Amino acid sequence: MSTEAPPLPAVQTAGLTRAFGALKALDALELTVQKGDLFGFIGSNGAGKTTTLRILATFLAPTAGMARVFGRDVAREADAVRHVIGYMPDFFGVYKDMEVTEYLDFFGACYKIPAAQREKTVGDVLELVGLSEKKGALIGALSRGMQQRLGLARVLIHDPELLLLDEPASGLDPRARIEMMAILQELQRMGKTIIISSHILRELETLCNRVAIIEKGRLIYSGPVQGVRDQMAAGRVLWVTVSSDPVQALELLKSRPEVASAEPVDGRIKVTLAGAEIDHSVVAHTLVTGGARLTGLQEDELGLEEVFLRVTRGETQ
Amino acid sequence: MTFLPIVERELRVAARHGSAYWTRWAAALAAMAAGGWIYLVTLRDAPKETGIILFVTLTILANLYALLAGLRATADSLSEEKREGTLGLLFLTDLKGYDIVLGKLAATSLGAFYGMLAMFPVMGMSLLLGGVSPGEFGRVILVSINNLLFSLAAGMFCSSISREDRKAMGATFLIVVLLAALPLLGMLASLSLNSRTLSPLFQIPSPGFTVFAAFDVNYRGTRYQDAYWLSLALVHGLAWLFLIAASLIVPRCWQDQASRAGLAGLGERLRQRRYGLASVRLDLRRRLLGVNPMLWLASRDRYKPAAVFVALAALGCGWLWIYLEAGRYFLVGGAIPTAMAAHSILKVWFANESCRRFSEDRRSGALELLLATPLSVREILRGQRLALWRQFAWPTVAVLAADALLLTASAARMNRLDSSFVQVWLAGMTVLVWDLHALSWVGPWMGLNSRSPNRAATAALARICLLPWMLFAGWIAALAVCETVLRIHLPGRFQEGVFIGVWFALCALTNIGFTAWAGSRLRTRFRETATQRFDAGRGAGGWGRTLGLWVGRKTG
Repeated sequence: MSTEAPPLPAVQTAGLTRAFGALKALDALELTVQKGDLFGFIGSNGAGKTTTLRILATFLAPTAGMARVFGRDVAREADAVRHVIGYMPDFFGVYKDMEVTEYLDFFGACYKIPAAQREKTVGDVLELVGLSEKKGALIGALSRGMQQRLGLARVLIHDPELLLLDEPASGLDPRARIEMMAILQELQRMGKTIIISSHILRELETLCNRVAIIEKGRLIYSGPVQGVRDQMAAGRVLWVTVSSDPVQALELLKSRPEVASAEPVDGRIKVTLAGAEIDHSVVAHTLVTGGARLTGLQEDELGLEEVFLRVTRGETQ
Repeated sequence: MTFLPIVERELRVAARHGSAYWTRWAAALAAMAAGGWIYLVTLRDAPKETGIILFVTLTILANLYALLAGLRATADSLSEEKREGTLGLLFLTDLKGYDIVLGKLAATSLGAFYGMLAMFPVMGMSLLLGGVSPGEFGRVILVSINNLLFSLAAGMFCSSISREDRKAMGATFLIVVLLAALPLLGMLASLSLNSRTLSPLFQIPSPGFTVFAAFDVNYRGTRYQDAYWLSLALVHGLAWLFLIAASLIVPRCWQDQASRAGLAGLGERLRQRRYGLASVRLDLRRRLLGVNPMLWLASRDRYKPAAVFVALAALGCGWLWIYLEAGRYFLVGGAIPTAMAAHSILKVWFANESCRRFSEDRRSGALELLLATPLSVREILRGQRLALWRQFAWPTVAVLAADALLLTASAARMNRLDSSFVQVWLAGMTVLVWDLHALSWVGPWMGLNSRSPNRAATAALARICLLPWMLFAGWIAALAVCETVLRIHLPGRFQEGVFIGVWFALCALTNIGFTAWAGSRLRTRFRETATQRFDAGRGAGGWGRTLGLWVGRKTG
């Protein structure tokens, strides 16, 4: 019987700590990102997101603990790690007097891509990010959204396995943000592992298959988006509409131990369940068997923003 | 309603800033060092003579400080705000142009003013030693402060019309130097016209002339008495004119102007001239990226090497003009000053270029992107040095060739080949190349640690070019003390060869020491330093700021 080794995680940190003087930006962070994940990294300002990404990008050395990218230690095998990552910081400078092609050609050379191959690679990444028509344009003349896309093209120039994107959509208008997210989804389909930090949680919610929530340098949650919703679902809310007497319906609901509270709101009844494990069919069953005419039952979907607000206390370093 | 609210606030902030203490402390220390040195080397002279030498020397130093203060303090004040887009925010309030200009002047100039004040007590020593009258002392103090205001105002004006720091500083330097050296230009013009008199037009507007006219020997009983006051008033008026112009320009220059078709076309043409046509750029890119990506990054601008040649050619033309006017005597007397001027141009330019790339790229965040690539620190540094030599190798060869020509021509003119004369030239030529090599290491490290490339260049030049001269002056002072106080007569102490040897050894020591220091820092701490983000209290002038804060605490 042969036993296959488990696949190597794209990113793994253990006890990862980074201090700046007396300030602990990261405090024993334990994080695992699997290959192919589109991983959302969520936290308040100063929570430690950028520090984590900068350690993974080999810019900062950990004070304690370790971080590995595809099994390679970021501190001891930094050169090897740089070949497999593409890092886009939250704030990055561009050479405004350079043309788009020159910029990418330059970074291609920095990644030691042979000259003969660079021209095709530059064309490919420009097409991928939708900037083919701007290849002769001056970078200084590009809009913010286009500069972000150019930044993404730069990150992709050496075909890295792992993308570390720090707030890639910040400052972009809605259209540019949607386009950016579409590109990221396409990259995930191409098999890239992507770690993305963002404040725009609604987009992460639909984009990412896994998320991590970090506060004061400590990991609060890491796992599937649905998992964190489930964890936070204690006190989940149902909205009930009845065509019969609402007072009767209220009394029926309040009589059940599974219901924490029931109150009328704008012609509907807001029902808060007492626990996450409670099946919401109990509400329908109570009303129907009690003689109320149930015309609507809708569960309040717990958004990532709501989850984030519940699990964090807004504390920053 | 408070009149000039920004000025009041900025003055309070600047007065509490650590750099205000540091500048004052450093200026007083420098004046005391210069004064002490003069005192020691003139121990054999009468106190009155010592007093005069001390006074004249410190007056020249104080006015050099005053005239160059605008470059450091104000030339990049408004232009920096324009680049960072913060100037417009000020105009969203009720502030007027003069509020901004005077506020900025107060904020950036208080340290320079304190520094000047700190020099005056040392200059006052000459009153006690004799040879200097209270009136003369008062006039010099007045003209020094006036020149400081003039330079700061010129800097403010140039800053208001520029966006780039280099352009603002270059324009300030040009205005100050041209006006200060106006009498010299007038003299040359008079020589050309075979005229014996110098027109007042070449004297009165010159801050340099005001200093000249302030001394008793020129002021008393000559026609310069009225000219002094007139020049003082005119230079003062010019300073206010600059400030008024800046106040009028600033509210009109902070918005991004919509580019007009003609201007956009001109911009594109200039860009093509600067970087070449697409095919030329592609060719350069293919050649240099293959050698080192940093080499290409720093070598894209085709004007850079040419600009150095243009500056050197301008110096050569000036030399030729004076030579044709003054005759062959200038061949001997003017050879070493000309060579020193050419060497200085090269060193200052080289220092500026060596600091600029890393300073600007770290500040913009572009350096961080480079460090995320597999390009090693060694490769980045090598590319930067290759680019520097690509820009400066031929100008350096040209200067060395001109040195050799001047040496040969002046030796032929003197009809003798004095060994110490040749030694001076050979030492100067060797030190030029050695200094440039040292700057190619020290400059990048300084640039990496400073928000301002100009400050970084000043720091690099102070270490490589100024320090050996200061040590050399210290050695001369020590020799004078040995001779006159301790009565120790060292053998061969006054031989020219010994002086040249000591100076060369000091240059060599500083170059070796700082090259090793900067090389080690760059190799071991480049990545760590480059990826730190600038914030308040970090970055430029770390030790200076610490010293300033320490002195500030000690003095309450």
